[in-house]
Amino acid sequence: MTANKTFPLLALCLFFCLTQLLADSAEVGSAAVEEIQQILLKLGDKKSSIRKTAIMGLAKYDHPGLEALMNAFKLRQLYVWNDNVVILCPKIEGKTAALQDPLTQEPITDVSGKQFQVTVTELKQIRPGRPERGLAENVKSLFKLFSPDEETQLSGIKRCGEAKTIKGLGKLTDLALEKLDDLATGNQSKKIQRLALESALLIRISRISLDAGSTHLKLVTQLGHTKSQRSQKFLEKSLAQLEKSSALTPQIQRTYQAAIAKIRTYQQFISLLGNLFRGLSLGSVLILMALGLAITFGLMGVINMAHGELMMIGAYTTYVVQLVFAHTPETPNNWYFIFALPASFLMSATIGLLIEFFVVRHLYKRPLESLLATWGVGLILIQMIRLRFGDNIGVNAPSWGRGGIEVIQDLVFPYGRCFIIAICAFSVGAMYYLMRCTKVGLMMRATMQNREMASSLGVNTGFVDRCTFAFGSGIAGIAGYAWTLIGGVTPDMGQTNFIVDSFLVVVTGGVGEIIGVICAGLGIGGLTKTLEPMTGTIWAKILLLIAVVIFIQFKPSGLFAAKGRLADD
Amino acid sequence: MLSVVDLSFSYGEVQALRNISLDVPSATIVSVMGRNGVGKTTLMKNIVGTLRSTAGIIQLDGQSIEKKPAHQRVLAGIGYVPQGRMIFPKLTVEENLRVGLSGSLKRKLVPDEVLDLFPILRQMRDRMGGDLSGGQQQQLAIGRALVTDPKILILDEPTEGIQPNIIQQIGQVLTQLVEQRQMTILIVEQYLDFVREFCQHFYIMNRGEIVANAETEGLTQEIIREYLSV
Amino acid sequence: MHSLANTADDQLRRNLPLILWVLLGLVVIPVLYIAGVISIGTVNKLGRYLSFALVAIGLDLIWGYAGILGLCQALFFCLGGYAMGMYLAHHGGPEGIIDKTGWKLPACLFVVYPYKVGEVPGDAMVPWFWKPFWSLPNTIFLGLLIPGIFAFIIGYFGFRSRVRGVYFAILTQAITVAAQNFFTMNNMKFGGTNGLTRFAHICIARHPHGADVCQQSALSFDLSTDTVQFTLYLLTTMAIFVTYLLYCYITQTRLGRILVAVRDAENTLRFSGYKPYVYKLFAFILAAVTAGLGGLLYVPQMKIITPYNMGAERSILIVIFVAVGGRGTLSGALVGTLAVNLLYDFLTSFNQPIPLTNMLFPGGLTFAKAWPIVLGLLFLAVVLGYPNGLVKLPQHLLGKFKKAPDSDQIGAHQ
Repeated sequence: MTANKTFPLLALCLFFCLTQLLADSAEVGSAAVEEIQQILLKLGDKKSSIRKTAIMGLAKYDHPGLEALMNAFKLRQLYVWNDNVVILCPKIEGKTAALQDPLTQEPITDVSGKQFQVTVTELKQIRPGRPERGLAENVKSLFKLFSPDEETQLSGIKRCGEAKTIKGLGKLTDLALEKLDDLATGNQSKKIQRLALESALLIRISRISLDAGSTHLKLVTQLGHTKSQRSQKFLEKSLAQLEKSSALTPQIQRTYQAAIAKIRTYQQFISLLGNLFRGLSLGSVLILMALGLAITFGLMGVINMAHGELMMIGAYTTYVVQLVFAHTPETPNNWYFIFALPASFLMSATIGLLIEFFVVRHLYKRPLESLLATWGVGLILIQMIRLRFGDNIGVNAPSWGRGGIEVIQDLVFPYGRCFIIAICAFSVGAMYYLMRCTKVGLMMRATMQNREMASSLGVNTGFVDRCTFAFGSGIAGIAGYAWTLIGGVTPDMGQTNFIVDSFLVVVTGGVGEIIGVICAGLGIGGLTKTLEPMTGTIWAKILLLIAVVIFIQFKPSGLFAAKGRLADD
Repeated sequence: MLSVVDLSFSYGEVQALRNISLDVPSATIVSVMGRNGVGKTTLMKNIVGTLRSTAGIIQLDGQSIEKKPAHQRVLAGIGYVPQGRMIFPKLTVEENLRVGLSGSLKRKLVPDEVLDLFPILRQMRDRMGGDLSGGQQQQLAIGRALVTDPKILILDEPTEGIQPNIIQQIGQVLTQLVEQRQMTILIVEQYLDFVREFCQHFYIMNRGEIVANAETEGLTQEIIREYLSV
Repeated sequence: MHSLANTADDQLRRNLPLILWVLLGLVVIPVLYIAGVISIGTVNKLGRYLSFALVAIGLDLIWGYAGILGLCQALFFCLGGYAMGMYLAHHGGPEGIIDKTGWKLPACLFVVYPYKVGEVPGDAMVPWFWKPFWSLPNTIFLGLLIPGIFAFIIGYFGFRSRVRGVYFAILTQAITVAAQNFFTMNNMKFGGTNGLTRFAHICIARHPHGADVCQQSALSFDLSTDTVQFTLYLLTTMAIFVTYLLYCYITQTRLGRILVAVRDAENTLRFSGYKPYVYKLFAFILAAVTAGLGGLLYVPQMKIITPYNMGAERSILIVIFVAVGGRGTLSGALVGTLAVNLLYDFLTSFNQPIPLTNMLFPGGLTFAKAWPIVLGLLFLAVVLGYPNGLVKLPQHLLGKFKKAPDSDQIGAHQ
């Protein structure tokens, strides 16, 4: 070898040693790296069996860079240089090629720091055939198990349990099992442990035939314990196949069915929890809407049919803020979401104030007339928004809106819904604080209980009315803002979705009583969402309506009726 | 202090008050009497502002207030204790008292003097208004009106349904207010002994008009028989 | 406050407009049509508006007199309408689609038939609840009975438990929305969002289902001919006048006074030994049946019925008809319905945009697009500005000239 070529080789070895020294993984000794390099050379061998053995041989090493290497292998990015060493070369430009370390993907540099370049003629491409590529793919799953990144690990563990991979791993299955068992019992996160256990079981059960008797059945039961949907599918499929064959005994059938039943019960349980959670988030929006209504009705004896439209305005304000901030899924700008909250509140509060001043003020204590007049206002608002924005707009949720918290296995609470619940709780808290601890709140409560007396004590009841109405409208705006996280926004969303439901909440909960409205809102939201999967949306609404009508028979003034003058009319 | 001139008021087509004129001098207690239904409460509500008169002038301390809404009349110096007390049932005693602070620009806290006048209120600060007995509610109602620091205190049948010792106490408080704070008091009352003991001047109403008006000494048996008995 | 209908003034007021309307509706309009001055289209339109007026008059009875705001009148209207629609659908549409039991499948149902998984078009069957509507007498009877039954159920639960007026309004609104959703579902087999359509004729002769013999019979009336439409108009006009007379009679009897008492002082009525809910229930059912009659007459003239007609918007629209015309006057229902609908007609006949609207809305705004805004403003105007209605307008104007201006009313609370 000439000095030209020895030098880079030395540099390469030095590089490997350096990277090894700096590497976090204590398991990868320099000896291992050298062994890996030896095996890599075999990848370029002419014989297919040697190539396959080489691939499988790599599986023994838990080096984090192996997965990327396998990828490069599949993509034909590996080259043998001078018959000595395998390097990575993602791109070849012209006659020279820049070298990269196949394991770390770092560019190989000489002492001066410049990336090493060699001529193309010194390189021989490694070209894997189809079977090797398939094998590499399967082996990749194995490598993923060693990745430091949890997401990659999880995906690898999951794939190990899939039938395709199990078949493909062949001789490596023991290795896979060993690693999976390791992960299942080590101090990894619960999710990894669970999934590893499940995949290990799936591998084991596919290797054992039915004749193995009790071992097989024991595995079946253990699969039942995993309570996952994947196990359920697998068990159901196996049972179906067994039923077609003649090998089914009562005992086998029972074991399978017991395991499947166990999983099913769990899945139903979390399905129920999931529905309750959705009911909670729906109930939160209903509560926000109903609170505004209950307070205006309790305070002023006025029915505001435009309340749904105030919510719609909150949603459209959020949309406009989004446009202003130019937030799209491709170019997210999540700041818009923070500004949209006060914007929605203020916009709806302002319009509510205008409605109060021009319309509602004259209709104090005339609920039926105010119903009609505010319905008219609602019509005007809907049509104006429709003419300005059209019938359909796309409101994009902020980018964090799509993920969720996994509470227990398979039960995910989406961030969007969590936020809605939080906003509702915050608003209720704010309203409670306003009512109980501030001067305006005291004025409001006094006016609600006895308007005439309050004004004889110096309370400007007109001002109180205006504040209350504006505040209630603002809260509706916040409901609209929150709604953009989970639902569609159309000009008539207030009517189709909410106004009737909100009023049912008020009717059930009792007018002017915050606690009643909260209970009723949660109840109706929860009931709706629990019924929906069973009966469909429309039947759920009908049943709910019937339930409210029956409830009203027993308690015509609601759960917690407000005592006092208004109860009479 | 308070001067009403030619006040008239109608409920729709029914005229309830006809050209009422009365004067309440400063630092005196004046009573308005009459049978049920003659318009006493209507008159009070007109003065306080709950009802808007159809004609006439109301002057408080030289200031015309007949065009002002009720809450502004409170700022001008009217304190009102209505018939039936009208305690806010779901507010505590303290909160009931604090409602009066809404309009007043000067005060931020319930003045101790009010609580001193009715020590029972201090004791029951956190009790719900609706849970108090009749006598306690009456004291609360008066205290509540006093929080606004009024120039004239208007009470509508404060002794109705109250036990005798509290009635005495109320009378004494009213006298004390007049003597120590120069307050003016206008009181609708049916209870003659109370009027004789505590009021200096009286008016009698019949069918929406003032039919008699004199010093309390002038409350003769004839007048009583004609206008106050059944 | 509405005075009771017993003074001589009111008697005259009641009879004079009636005579005028009868003349107008049964004499003038037909003459104009026969003379060719107005087209069949206009006659048809009037007929449809008058069928709305039937609903409105029922609402005036329960709202104007008894003070019950029911927001499900459009539902009762549609129950009658769907009855007639099913009848017409049976006898309409293209021939040749016969199901396994020998019934001819209505064309509009065939289009949206909700096949279950595995079913082929040949499996479609006429649902059992369609079958009673094959014969006309049955249809008319059911078209009046079914709204009545619904009204009974709703009223029974609503009135007996002394639900407050406002709550009742909300509940009826919720019911009508739920019903609308129900009829919109395709698998309920009412034609879904398309509704019932493809009508051809009304057939009076009795004949077996399966083959549509009626087309050849002399007792078949083709809906698309002018004469049939004109006859329907006359029928509707007569229906409304008969109904009006009936209602007038009712309101003048003791029953009418009780209804007013229900509105003004229900507790007093109860303490006097009456059971208010019985009277409310009666009025409610009567109004529902009348609305059903309106639906029966509307559908052959409109030639389609969809679930949109039973929504909350329609119910509230009826309320506005009554409010514009004058609540509690009965004739106001008629006047209001015609006034608002003719206004709509008039405004939407302009194709040019409203001047000055280019500033806010690109391209300008036609009245057709702005109609909901106009309607909303009408709501506001009627409720805030002029609650007495058009019928009282002449009297009010006269009154303004006669009396001195009223002194201030009872002082409002700020």
